[in-house]
Amino acid sequence: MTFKQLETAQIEELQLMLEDEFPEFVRTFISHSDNLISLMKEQLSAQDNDAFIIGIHSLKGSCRNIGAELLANSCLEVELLARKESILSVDPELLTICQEFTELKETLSKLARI
Amino acid sequence: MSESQQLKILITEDNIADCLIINKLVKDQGYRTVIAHNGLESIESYKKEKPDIILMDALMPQMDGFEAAKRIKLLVGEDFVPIIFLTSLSDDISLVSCLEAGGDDFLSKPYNSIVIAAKINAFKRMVVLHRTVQEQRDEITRRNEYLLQEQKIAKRVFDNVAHLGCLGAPNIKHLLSPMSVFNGDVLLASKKPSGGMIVFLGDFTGHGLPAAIGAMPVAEIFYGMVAKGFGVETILEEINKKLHIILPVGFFCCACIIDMDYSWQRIKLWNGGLMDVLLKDNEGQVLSYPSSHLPLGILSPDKFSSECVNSDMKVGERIYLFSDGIVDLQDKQGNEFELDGFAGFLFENKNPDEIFEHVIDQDKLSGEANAESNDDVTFVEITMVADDVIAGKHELVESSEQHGARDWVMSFEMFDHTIRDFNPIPLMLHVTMEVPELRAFNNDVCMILSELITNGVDHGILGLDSNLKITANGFQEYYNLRNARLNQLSGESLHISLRHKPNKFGGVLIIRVVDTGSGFDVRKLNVGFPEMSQLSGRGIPLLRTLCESVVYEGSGNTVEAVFRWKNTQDDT
Repeated sequence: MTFKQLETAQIEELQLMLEDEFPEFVRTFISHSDNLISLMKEQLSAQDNDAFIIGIHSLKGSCRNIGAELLANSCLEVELLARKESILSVDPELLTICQEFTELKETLSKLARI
Repeated sequence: MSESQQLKILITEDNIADCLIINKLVKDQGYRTVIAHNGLESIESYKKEKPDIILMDALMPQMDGFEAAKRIKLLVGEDFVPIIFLTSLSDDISLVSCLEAGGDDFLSKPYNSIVIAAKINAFKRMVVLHRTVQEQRDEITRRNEYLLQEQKIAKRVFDNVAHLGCLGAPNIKHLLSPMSVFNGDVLLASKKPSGGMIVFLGDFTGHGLPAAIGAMPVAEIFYGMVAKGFGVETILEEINKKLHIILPVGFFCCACIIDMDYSWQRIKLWNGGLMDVLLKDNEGQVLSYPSSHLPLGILSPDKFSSECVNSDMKVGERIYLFSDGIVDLQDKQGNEFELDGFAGFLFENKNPDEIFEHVIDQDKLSGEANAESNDDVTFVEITMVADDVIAGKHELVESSEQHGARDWVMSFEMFDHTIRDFNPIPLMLHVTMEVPELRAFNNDVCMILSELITNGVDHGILGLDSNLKITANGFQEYYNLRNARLNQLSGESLHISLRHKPNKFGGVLIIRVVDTGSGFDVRKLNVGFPEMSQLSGRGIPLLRTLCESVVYEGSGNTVEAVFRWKNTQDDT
């Protein structure tokens, strides 16, 4: 099975390691990331640069951990933009990230059969 | 700790999903885990749980990993608690910040179970090693304290044996700087029962306990034999014999012994392996007495020579003895205080009172310049003083011994070679000390005995004229003549008899010495002119002060002295 959003090897290793806990892990990942994204939108409108960078950095890290390279790279681009230029240059709606996250959610849910 | 289950790992990670993964990975390795979600929680968890290893995310809300790592490293003190940063930061500056904050390593995302297991394992080994080192260090500290305690007790025993004797005398100044609890140097001084003093300085190979042990028998022999009236030659022979037996090969004792004769203003000196002994005379000249023998403990008794150097030493002149540690003393310019340098200093110095203080200063400077001091330094200055005549007070003797010998007579006669080779005074004193209360008068008895016996041998049998000793070169001539005549003795004898009678106040000791010499005119010995007799004929006036009566009979080859003593306890 191959997915556009996921590195097969990475997610399979996680599945193997977590066994029965995998579905629970996927649910945690989704709800935590959902949370992060809505927080980041608030931080963008409040122009809280530091908190935003911590959030996007955290999302990037957990995406790498599950092999979601596409989303991780999108996060990296936004993080670099925020760090090097300004939070003002970042799309306030985080459209790319939201769209990719929705696709990732679907794929993960299928995998975890939830 | 040896069981991996016992190792506790604190995971600090704000991302719940990441935290789940790493927690699972670590638990699967068999470790216990504690979770914190930011820096502040991490510090609290560290205090409460005392984890063995900490995994720390770098960027976190509230308090980031760098700050938390810094604070935790301050808390751990001398323990070793490795902090491994969990990071997706990859630029050099960020990694350097991790290290600067006290981080020990990194783990980068995505996590890899094999890498995590390997890293935790490596740090586990370091933690175990660190704890072992700490435990061993504590064990060493405990043992060292125990050892020091033991040494302190041993030192108390040691100090009782190798006590300072009469080192407190006003004409002795000394500096002892021990490197450890024990000093490899041994300095002993004791008043002779017949007046004057004997000083012994020894420097054992090595220092500390092994060196100090050898000093114990030396002190024991020295104090015992001096008190019994033995001469320096016999004492040296005895010490050498003892050290030759007990010291292992390669261990020995460099030593110098000086017999200070206050009444004749003479010294008798033996130097075996010690630095040159230096004498500064009243004219400002510095005379040196280099070592002329091997150190004590090397030669077997049959090869050992106790031959001493005899020399004049006038009142106020000072003699200096030191162990080789003095060479390492540094002067104010930081140069080593070589022996030549010291002799030169001694020569140039016009005020003799400053010399000792100068050496003390050098010792201090040297100590400051070089905290790990090199060798033991012992430095002694002895000043010749005028005759201390009769030793002051008689110490009270508790006459707890009711069964001593108080009423007796003994007689001893020696012939030719024995007159030359044997010193009968220790034997005589041994007998008189059998009268318990008479021990308090040991010095007086010894002085009377040595005067009577010396007169009997030197003037009676050998026919020597004590006026010879008055001139500077006379002493040497006197001794040469004495030795020559002693070697030619034939058919001569010296008879000594002692009679002790108790009475209700104390007792009376009658000493009778008869020699086979041709006799002499007692009047020639300046008996009537004590003011002229300060140098050579001091013997007889001294006898008169100590004794109730001194009577020469016949042609002068028989003398009887009566010493009456009162029990001091009854006096008070």
